[in-house]
Amino acid sequence: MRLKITFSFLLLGFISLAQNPDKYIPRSAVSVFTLNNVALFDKIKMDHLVQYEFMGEVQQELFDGSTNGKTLEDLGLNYDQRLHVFFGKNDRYEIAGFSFGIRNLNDFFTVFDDFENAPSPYSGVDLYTSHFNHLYIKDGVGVLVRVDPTQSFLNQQCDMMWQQRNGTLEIELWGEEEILEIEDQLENDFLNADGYTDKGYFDFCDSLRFEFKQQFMDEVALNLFVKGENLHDHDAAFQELLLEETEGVFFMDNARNLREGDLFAAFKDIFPAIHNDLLNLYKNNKITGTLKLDKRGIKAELSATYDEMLGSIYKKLNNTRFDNRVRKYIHEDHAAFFTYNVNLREAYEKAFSELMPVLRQETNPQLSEQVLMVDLLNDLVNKDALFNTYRGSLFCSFTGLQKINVSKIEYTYDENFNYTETRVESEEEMPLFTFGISTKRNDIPEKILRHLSRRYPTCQKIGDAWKFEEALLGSIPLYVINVNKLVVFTNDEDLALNHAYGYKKEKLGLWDYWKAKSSGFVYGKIDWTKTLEELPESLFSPEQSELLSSLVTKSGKTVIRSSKTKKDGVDYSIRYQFADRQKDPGAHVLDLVNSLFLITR
Amino acid sequence: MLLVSLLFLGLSSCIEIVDDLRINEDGSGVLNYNINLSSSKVKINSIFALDSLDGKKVPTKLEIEREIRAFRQQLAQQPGIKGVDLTLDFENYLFKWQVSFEDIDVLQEALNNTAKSMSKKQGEWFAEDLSWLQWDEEALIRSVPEIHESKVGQLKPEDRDLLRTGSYISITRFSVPVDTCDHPDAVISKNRKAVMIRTDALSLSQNLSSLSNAIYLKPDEE
Repeated sequence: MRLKITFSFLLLGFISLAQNPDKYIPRSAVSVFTLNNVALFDKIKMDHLVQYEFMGEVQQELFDGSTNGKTLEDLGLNYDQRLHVFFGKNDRYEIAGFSFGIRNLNDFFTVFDDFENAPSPYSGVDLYTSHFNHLYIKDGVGVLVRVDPTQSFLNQQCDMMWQQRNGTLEIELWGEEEILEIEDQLENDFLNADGYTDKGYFDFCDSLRFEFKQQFMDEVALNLFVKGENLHDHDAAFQELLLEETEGVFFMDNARNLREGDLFAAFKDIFPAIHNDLLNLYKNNKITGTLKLDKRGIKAELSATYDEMLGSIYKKLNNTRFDNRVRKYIHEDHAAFFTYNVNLREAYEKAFSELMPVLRQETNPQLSEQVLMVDLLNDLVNKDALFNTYRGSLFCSFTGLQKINVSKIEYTYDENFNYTETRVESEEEMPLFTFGISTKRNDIPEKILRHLSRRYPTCQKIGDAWKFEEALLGSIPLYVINVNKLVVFTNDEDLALNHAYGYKKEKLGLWDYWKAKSSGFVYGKIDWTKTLEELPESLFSPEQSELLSSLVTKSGKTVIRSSKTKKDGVDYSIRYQFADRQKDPGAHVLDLVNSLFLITR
Repeated sequence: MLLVSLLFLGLSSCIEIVDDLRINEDGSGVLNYNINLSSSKVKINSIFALDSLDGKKVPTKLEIEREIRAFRQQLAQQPGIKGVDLTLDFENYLFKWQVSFEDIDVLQEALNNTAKSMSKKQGEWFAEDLSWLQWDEEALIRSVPEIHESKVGQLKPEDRDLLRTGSYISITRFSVPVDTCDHPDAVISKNRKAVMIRTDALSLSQNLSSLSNAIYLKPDEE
């Protein structure tokens, strides 16, 4: 008996000592980057770390003067434990944060000296706050976390409550109880007895954001520290992934990403049954991966898992061969190219045979009408012509920049300041992109192109290519090359007018061609140095520009390839070769983590 | 009008605004306001291709046109406004307004009322008074409206830097010769009946008084 009790205490002691950051990732996290070898980042300066976009998610006001010149080593982290960077989004809030082991609390607070101890509502958990950051410490594990209501949720709530205040509540978007609770809180904290009359709409929304932020933060902390709900215990795939002996691992629960991020929202209200079916189709769709570092680069091995139905559709979708004709349309001096080989016909037949029997059971009149329409189209449309015209395989390439002429209006003034408008020509640099699809029926696109040329004077055939004036961004000509069982769209005038039947000597090199051909359904290669030097940032959205500028420090090459698709999943391999081998290897890993973060976001 | 120009200030680096005010002896006149974004055509078209920018929905051309036409309609109905002409060229991104008015105070009142009524949400309109002109038949004092100052102040530092290549040209015309004006960069035309100030959009955003000017007319010799 005594032995049993002693053993029980030993076991309890072991469990207590074994508390580690793995168990402190909120369950609402959807993607996690785990760095197993934290010592790899010893020499990374805090000032360097703060430049990464994924750090921006956890308020940058943490990194004030006290972090200058400090390295991660100075933080007093426990190198025997993993460091997790996690992100998540549901229909109400976004969450981002870190969980990590702390070896020396004094060192930690010497670097982050803005944190102040705050009363913790949770037993055994210390709480520190700094601006909007919350740092929870339990059993030597730190969880630095930030929660924000999503913009769409906040907009809905602001509009609704604002309308309610003005007596025109149109729709109920959230539970009545929660609305009252939030309004009571607002009443206490921000509003005068007369209500909202002294606040504008945007002030009101700011107040509401603050309240939701606090409420969602409490919800996350309660689930994590009181109810013990965490991603590790909830997800066996994540647990298994952590056993990998590599520098780092990557996890994304795409099924939850689709469900909670509401990516099929368009169907939700109109066709709830289809919405459900789509979510079921992606059930258990997870992406897991490992990061391995060697002297020449980093290799990320990713696996996407599917349930049987989705897997069987993907297997059919990817049951095709690389189209050799593509090689002649990718220049050997490309900066980047990408090929994607799919068999739409087989995927369509498979999806039709798997999904339609389920949809035919639906009793919703609107939905059953749609199902009938799909059934009739399936019988009446010439599927041979359709799928021979667009077979599904495609490629794209980026070759560099070219100057193009654009016109603008200028004002010229006389001596009495009367002005006239003059049209003048100016030059702008434009990246050269080529995009093509495989076809067996060049005659069908040709019919459409001929019709367009009769209808619109801006579309004309020049040599073997069709030219559409000012088709791209209202200024740039687009060429369509419809020969050789390919339909190629490009803004590269040289390709269109001088190489409509493809490059000869300058075609894609044999090595690249062989690699692309021997890959699964996807192959891509990017020369970062060439690509990032040439892409004009001004043409991209702020989010895309952010991704580009984060990549600008990179040099070297990245190759992405896939395995053959199986019924239960597909594997991808991403190889990033350093051009700059002098750079700290830890910084290369952080570069890749940052890129993955921006792409997945 | 000012709001529209500010919207585009936020969207584009290469903007040219010409603000051309003609005042007759009786105080009536015509205001021409031209926004030229033709040199940013590629950039603007790429913005219109986006769903959202900085977390905010990008309006369609149709939505922008509808708002501008609604503004025009409301402005045309204001007392003392004799006519409002509008030219919208979405191909070259060239937008022109011409407002004929009976009196300067009437113009300012009309713009103020129209802008207020177009403001959808309570609290969004924060300028009590949109006055930027004072006229007494012998002198005209121009300043920057309060709404303009507030909106420019809201621009992010990186957006302000983008304004460096934009230009703002302010022309004031009279039927009698100009005697003098107090803005150091103001230029008087050869016939002395017009005054021009040319500034870049960045300077305007950093120094809101860069358009302020007091223009004195030659006293009647009779």
